[in-house]
Amino acid sequence: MIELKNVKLNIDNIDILNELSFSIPDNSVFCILGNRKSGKSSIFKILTGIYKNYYGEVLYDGKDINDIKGCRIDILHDTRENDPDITVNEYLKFYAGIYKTFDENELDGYIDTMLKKFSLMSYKYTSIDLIDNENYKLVELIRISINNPNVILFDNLFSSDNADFNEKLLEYIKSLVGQKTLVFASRSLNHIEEIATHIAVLETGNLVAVGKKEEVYKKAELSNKIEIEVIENIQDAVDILKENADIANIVYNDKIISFSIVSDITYSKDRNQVEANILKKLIDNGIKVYSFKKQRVRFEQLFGRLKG
Amino acid sequence: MENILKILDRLNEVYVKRRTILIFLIIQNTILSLIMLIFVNVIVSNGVINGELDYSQIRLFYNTAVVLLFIIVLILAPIFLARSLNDLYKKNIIEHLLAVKIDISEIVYAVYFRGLITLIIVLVSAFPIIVISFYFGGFGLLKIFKLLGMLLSFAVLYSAVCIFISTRFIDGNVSALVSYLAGAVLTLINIYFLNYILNGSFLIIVYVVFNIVLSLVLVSVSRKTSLFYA
Repeated sequence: MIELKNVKLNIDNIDILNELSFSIPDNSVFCILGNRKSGKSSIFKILTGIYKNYYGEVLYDGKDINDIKGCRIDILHDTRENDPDITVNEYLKFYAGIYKTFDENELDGYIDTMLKKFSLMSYKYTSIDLIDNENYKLVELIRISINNPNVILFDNLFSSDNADFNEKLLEYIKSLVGQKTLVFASRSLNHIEEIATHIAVLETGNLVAVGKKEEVYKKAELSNKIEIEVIENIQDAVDILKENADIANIVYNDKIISFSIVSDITYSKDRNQVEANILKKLIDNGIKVYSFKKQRVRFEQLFGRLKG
Repeated sequence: MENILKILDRLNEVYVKRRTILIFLIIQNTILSLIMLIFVNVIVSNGVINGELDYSQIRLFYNTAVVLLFIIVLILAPIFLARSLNDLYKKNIIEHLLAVKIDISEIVYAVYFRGLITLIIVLVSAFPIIVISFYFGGFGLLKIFKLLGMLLSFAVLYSAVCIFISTRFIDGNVSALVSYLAGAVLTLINIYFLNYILNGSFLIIVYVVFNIVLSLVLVSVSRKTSLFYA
């Protein structure tokens, strides 16, 4: 677990972070939300070891994060400046040679497998400077997978407008959920909202809210509502839902039932399972479900509610 | 130490293109050989006219070659080192390395040794021509070793100056420019003291030790820099 205790950062007499205290549990999906200059990137720079001139404590499993060798952190940046002289293959091998997580003989095979997985094989011998930002992020994901870190920091990962690319990215990220600690710094909840387990909201270096996603939503009087449209027997459907202890705030009209899941579920995968079970129970009881969808919470909505 | 060697190995493998160094080696040694040939040609031509070979004329080669080697160090060190750390910082490489708990001093030393080794390879490749021509030009071996020691320790110091400057400026062009200015000053100082150092037996030891100590101080200070620690 990563813990920040009263972390304060001042650069050139400007307070970047003010007495921040929160914990990032192991294998959680932690989203640090905030607008520009809110301090998200500074937190990342502290976690990676670039900034050491902060006050307070940053601990990993109770020990100073800069002192322990066992904690491998990696970061996927939003910005890039690459060397035009090196190819994608050389780039990956450069880091692999330092990480030493792979045997030389296995490395080539692994790089090829991952390049194929992300449809990047044709770029293997292309200068890394020539590939576009989206493919660069995929190359970075391969680099990170070679490193095999405990904690992965993603800086504005979903900044692209390309839906297919975001989908591909999300699919890969989902495969890491529950296995690694994933920390996102973002200005929006798009894509991350689905997998997030914890949220911290920052404003100019101050913590507005932090905690499990459900707790933060509760504080903001928001919830991940689910909307079900049924063709008939709506009262039966409502009765079935009321039997489930995980379900609250049931509201319905002629066709549509909306409700929230209130159980203390840590991981997105488990929450998906709960939702799948609800849907299965309705169908098993002969309810004709026409649609079943989650209402997404937007960052602006969350931020607005938290700030009152 | 293990991390320094790992980074050094990787930087050499990927970021130092061997063909670039090879081109430097070919150009440098071709120039030196041509100068040598010209001097030999002059000596032989004068010998034919005067009926006697005057080897002392090869001493002219001494000044040209020494100045040329200083200039090579002056030109190459900033190319290899002046942009090194700020470049790695901008390319996020330093952050990636720090994140896997590689210490900043290991990164600084690895980058320093990478540049220094490249520079020394370039210099050492010129030594056979220099040693042979100086020896047959009437120089004692001790003086030749003094000169080589002076050149190498100058390269050690100037590389450290370059790496220190690269950690002070975020813009690689600015740090390259400042490095060239610092190099020009250092070269002038060294050329001024050249004869004193080569003729004194004790001074060369003081000079080499001073350069090495100052280099280690500069490289150590480089890890504590505003560029990396905001």
